Amino acid sequence: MGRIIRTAKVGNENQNADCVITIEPGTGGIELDFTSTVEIQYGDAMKEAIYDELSKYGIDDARVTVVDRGAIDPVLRARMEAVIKRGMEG
Amino acid sequence: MRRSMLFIPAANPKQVMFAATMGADTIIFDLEDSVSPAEKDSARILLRNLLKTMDYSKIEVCVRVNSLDSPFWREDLEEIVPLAPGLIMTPKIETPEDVLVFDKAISELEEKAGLEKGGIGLVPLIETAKGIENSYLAATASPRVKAMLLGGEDYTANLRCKRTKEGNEIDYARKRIVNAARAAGIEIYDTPFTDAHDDLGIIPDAEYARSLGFTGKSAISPRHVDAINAAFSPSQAEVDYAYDVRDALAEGKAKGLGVVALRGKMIDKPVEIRAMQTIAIAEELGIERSPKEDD
Repeated sequence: MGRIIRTAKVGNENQNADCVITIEPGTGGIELDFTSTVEIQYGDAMKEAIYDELSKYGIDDARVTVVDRGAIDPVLRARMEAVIKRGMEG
Repeated sequence: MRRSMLFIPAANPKQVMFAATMGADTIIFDLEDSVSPAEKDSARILLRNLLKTMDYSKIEVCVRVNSLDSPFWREDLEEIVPLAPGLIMTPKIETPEDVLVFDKAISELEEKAGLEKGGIGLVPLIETAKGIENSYLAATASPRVKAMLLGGEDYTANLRCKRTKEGNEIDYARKRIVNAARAAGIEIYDTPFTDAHDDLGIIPDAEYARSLGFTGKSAISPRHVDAINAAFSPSQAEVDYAYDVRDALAEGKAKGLGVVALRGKMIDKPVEIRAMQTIAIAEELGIERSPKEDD
């Protein structure tokens, strides 16, 4: 079971096709704050990818903030993987 | 066919996604200079995901990893080798031993990933005075070495001189490295023209590089790709002449002639070799011979 022990951030705020993700130690369960320029069409699929990446690392307690500017699935998943690994590091 | 090699920062998702549409023959996805030390981890993961997902089948994929004097090169290889890119570019190569360190690490990772050993080519980036002097030894250190690239910026910093658009300060290095590469039987690529906003200066710079024997040239701006491709493609007149040489040789052979001439000049072996090289490139680029006037 993975554990987020510190706040971490990944992604470039000024870049289209990217997203900025912040992860923090949780207060009981997953708390997701998600905004996206393509939320109406792809929001559900993107949220599913976020939860999927968290479950790969066994994370069930974290606060995740995603500000998306049109990242495609492999980019979103890459940003999630990087931020989780950083957040899990001691 | 590699005429142009375009550097793309691996940390930039948009540029990595659209890399195959830039017109370059080879894309060098860069994990080194264009990625800050704090973002090496995220750039590696991003590049791995996009290389797995996007269609790069129309271009050659090269990845520039970090140098041996950094703490990043091994992790770069661990992430990238299993994806089997065509080429891996290794910066700051100064000795054949440097090549062998990369060669050994890549071989181990290829085996671990179940890949054919030696399938990934190496492109040593030569960018120091010592590297230039040892470039033939680096080129022949391993059969994995397919080409070398001259890095003019670091090289001139190492020489302690100013890098200029005219490039007199890199002239020795250019000629030396072309000779070393050709002696080793590998391809050789020129340093980028670094003023991304100068669309005209790139033309004579690329043409000069071709005249010295470079196979092609690297670029840091997509705006320079077309000029590089044009400079390193044979002109229509060159293609037509090459076919004329081939025809004249075939005709001479049919007539049992020992010596064949075209337009008053003897076709010797070097002329024949150049003509065959030009035809091979023209065929690869789809450049056809001009119709003859009596056709």
